Amino acid sequence: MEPLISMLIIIGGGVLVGVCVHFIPASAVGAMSASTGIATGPSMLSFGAGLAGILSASFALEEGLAVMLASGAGGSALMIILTILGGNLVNAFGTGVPPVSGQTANKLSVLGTSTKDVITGWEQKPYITPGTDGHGMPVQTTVSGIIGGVIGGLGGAMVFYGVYSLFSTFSVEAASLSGMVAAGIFLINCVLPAYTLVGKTEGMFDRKILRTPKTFLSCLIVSTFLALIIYSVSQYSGAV
Amino acid sequence: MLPTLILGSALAGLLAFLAGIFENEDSDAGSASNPNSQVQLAPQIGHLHRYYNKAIAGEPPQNALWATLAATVAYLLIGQLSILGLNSIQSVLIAAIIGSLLAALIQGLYGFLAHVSRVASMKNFKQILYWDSLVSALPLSMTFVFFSALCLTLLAFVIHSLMGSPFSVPLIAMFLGFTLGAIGSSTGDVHYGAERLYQHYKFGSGIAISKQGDIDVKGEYGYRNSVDTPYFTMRFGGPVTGLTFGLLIFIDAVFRIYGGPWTSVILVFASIIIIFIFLVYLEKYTRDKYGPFEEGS
Amino acid sequence: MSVDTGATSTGETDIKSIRLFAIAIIAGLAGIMLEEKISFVFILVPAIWPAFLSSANGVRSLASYGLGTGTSSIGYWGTAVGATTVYAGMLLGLNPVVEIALALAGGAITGICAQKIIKMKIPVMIRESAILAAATAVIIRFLIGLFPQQVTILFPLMYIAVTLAVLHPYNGSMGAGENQRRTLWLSGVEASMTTAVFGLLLLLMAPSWGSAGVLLVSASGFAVFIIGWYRSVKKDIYGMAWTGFPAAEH
Repeated sequence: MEPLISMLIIIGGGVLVGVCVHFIPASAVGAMSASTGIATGPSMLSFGAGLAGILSASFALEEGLAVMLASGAGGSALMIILTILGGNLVNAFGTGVPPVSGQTANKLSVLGTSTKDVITGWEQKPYITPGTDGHGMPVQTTVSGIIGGVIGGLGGAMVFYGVYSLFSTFSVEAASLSGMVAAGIFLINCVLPAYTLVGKTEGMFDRKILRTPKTFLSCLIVSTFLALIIYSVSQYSGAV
Repeated sequence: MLPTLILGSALAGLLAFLAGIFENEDSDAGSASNPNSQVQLAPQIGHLHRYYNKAIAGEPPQNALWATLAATVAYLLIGQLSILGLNSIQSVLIAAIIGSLLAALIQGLYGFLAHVSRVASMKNFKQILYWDSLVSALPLSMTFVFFSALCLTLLAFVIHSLMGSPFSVPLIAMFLGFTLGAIGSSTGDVHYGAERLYQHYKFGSGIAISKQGDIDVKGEYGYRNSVDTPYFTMRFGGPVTGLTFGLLIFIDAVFRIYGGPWTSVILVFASIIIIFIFLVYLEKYTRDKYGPFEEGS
Repeated sequence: MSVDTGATSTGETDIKSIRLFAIAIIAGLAGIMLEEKISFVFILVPAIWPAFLSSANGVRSLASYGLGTGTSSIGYWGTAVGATTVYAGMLLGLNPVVEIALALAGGAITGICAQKIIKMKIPVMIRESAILAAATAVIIRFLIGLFPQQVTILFPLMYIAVTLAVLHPYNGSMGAGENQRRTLWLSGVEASMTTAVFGLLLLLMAPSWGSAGVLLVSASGFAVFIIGWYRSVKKDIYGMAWTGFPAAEH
């Protein structure tokens, strides 16, 4: 694989990772059933999902790029949907609340002022606890989460594949080293959007999705810087 | 090859399930992660408490550290243990136990430092540091971390040797720690944060922003301590976390047994669709059973 | 409210970020250069503790502006930039000074993105982000140099242990009465804990008296720092008791 193409794959993967954080619904206050979304911070959740994707993709390392991308996407999406399942189970039977979208109930959805769930058409307003911003993960956020998981897994697998193809020419332990470096790039690209989102998002039907261009640009710059370092490592590493 | 993969998938699923339960109980034995904001908030609005305010970091990096530390020490120790003439399974078990012990000790130290330092920053709110509330919850939390780090280390070894991942054992352990922390923080912690901390509010509602910080300070008898929390969350929050993480690792592993790489991808996406359908039915069920929100009754 | 105004509620003045960073860089780089020359590396272990203090102070400066998403995320990205630069640079066999400069640049670029594009409106963002990345790069480079041969097996542990050691002091002391004195003492405690753990790993990899020396030096540092931290706690805390009930509820 051409080194320049590998570098572009790394940059592309990094940007996809940044974008996926906007799609995965997460909010820290959800742990008190006070906000819609998976009950943890967006950056760490996307990072955990992406790592599950990289781990799945690593099994297909010898099989080529397409299988790796698909495995990575599958692994991440599986982790997101299982987390949504667990969260909804605990909200339903532990706290006793149905999944409800706070943004939609308050007419703040990105698609307009309807208070109905976009996918199922179920009314959100009567079921929300007053004073909270929703709880659990209704169907529209689940769909957004799956899309986010697929994008994140794709991005993570791309970064891993790019770094691996650059490192494998001269290092025997290339797999572990590239896994570590890929995780580092992944983390930086996950934390940056978390600042755009200020701690919570409901996925692609939240108004905050309109802030994606800012994330796109910052992740592009940071990924380019890191990809350049890795590229020069592979080209000039005669000293090892 | 086939029996190894089957054994590997079964073991991986079991270890992941146990790791999930123990990780959740550890985050509840000392108030950690997102619900900790409630325990931190309570003295500021006048509810002085006797909880163990274990504010180490978010759950994902914490669990990554305990798992990586245990796995690295275990991996290095195996080289030394082979001198004693043990076979590979015995040396893996012993090394993993010693590594997890070290991880538990470090966690105890970090938690102790965090609790004392946080209470020291609460001078204006007159929160007193009660040594006995710290000392009774600390060993419980360390025990759960020991078990969770042990399960994650063994799981990393299984994924590396029986399932054939190209990553090194400490790297797999770090990835698993991050994923387990993210899952545990989103599933089991809701049971602690929304239910156990607010038992004096009726079952069946989220916690409104205005009511946050108004946590239970008294328990079934006397003042509540953090050791009273795992007793409650083990009945629901723990197994749900275990189910989530266990299903993730098991589904990922078991679909790799037959066929080529594309088979596992197709099967994974099929299971995603099945779970999605189940989620839609779950939402319909709760909406019909619980009905719209009504105050009181 | 920020901590850069120079004085705390108790009237003590804070040590400036740049001063801590300068001490960290000089001591750390001296340690890294000398590691290759002398065989008894355990003498150099205290040279890396100022870098931990500088990183923890960087986290403190940034997080005290109220990020809205948790104080720990700053620690994650700072260490990630520093660590990724060092790990990639190790393969090149880069000069340590070049690696640190790259990490500084990386931190600055991330800070610029955060400040100008995402518009986080934190005045010290670029400076502290660069300091954080460079200081953690110094720490990780030193830790890699402690070991006699290249140890990729230890890279995950180095990354995550340094991340926690850097973000925990501020996160663990967070509250209205937080001050730099106690946070830095706590950072010293955790710095010696981290070097002790790596001393133990060094002992496992290459058993010798020199390796045991790293563990012993870290342990003595731990004793010194924890006494200093505890005295600081006694000065700040409202009260301590073995047991008792809190004041009567409303």
